[in-house]
Amino acid sequence: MMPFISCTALLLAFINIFFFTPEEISQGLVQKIFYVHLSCAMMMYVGFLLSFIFSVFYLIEKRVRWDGLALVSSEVGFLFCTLVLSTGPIWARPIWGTWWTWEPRLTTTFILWLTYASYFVLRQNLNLPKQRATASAVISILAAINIPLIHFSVKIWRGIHPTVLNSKNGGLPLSMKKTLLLTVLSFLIWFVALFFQRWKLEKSKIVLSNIKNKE
Amino acid sequence: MTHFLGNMKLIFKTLFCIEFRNKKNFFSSLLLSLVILLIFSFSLDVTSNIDSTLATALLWVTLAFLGNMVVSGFTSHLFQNNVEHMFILSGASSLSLFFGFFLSSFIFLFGLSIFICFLIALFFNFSFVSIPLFGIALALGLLGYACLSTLVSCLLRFQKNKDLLTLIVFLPLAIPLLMTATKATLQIFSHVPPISLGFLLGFDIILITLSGLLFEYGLEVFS
Repeated sequence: MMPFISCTALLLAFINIFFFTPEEISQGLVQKIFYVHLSCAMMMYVGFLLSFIFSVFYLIEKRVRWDGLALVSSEVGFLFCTLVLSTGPIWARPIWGTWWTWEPRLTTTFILWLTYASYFVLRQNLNLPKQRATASAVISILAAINIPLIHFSVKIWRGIHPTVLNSKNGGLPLSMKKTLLLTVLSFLIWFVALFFQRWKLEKSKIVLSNIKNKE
Repeated sequence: MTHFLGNMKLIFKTLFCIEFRNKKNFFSSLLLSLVILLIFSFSLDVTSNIDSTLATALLWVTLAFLGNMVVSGFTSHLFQNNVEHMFILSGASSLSLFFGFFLSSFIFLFGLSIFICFLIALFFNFSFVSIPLFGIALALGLLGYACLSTLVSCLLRFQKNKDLLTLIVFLPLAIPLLMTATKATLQIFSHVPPISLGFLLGFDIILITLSGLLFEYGLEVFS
């Protein structure tokens, strides 16, 4: 049921973006990617924040469930981080005239992507479940330090990346705000769907390894 | 408190005694810093005089790659012989163990960075001495670097491919700190108000607190 709901929500959001939202005057059609880009960025934050919380829970309680949940949220967060880094250049090319620039927010998001990629490499390399879970939890907590840095990097280092939501009156007309809200909501549903589908898989893996250990 | 400081001093002394005896880290880091600077000299096609941007880059890139190797080697002095168990069995807290490790690594790294500065001054004719604030930026940058590196090295101390894995895990985590340290150094060299020094200090406080809290779990991984 959840995948169906998330697909419908995404479809509705895209229909709304392309057919019912006015085009931005200076940027034209390409600006519409902004709704996807920002929604992905928000889901990336949610995923990594959840990973941080579950990792803390794991270190406190040492239950395998928390480690599994941390992994799942990191994976979903990583997927959205990849989408942020992919949609950004598509938007940047016609506006900034370049696919990529070493601007603070882009650089720090890329660092976050690298950090979580190394988190997965670490998990792959550690074979014993307890070692893997503890080491990954520690790295996940350390990686979370980067999240506020990315958020505030534009202010700290004065980049060229726009801050739409923090500017006065939100910086967006009402029709665009509504579209943004709807897109964020549909991406949230997608996030939840992905999260639970992946968690179901991880749970089966945990059950299977428990059976193996008992044997 | 006295017990805590005593344990820290003991770890510090043990590490430096082992290093003083075998001098493995000392010689390999000196040699590697020379090799890195040599590679830079022809890859960037630099002449005998460099500007502050390039000097900063040379210094922090050399330290970024060399530092982790040094700290890994330093921590393996103790972990290879399970000396950390001896400390814990004798009643030393994991926090004193962490601070002992971390401060030893920091002092060693600071010494090494002075040597790298000397090499840059010698080969590229750039003087670091004239700017006293630079020492603060260097110390603050290395403080965070040493503590993060100590934690990651401890976390992966018995892993088969630990040298490669430590670099893969550690460097992305350290990049924000290195970025801030580089910016602070550049601001000092450019005689601009070094606002990044404040961020660097903030980073250090967060990293030291977090690493201190997590070190116990780091020890747990291979116990």
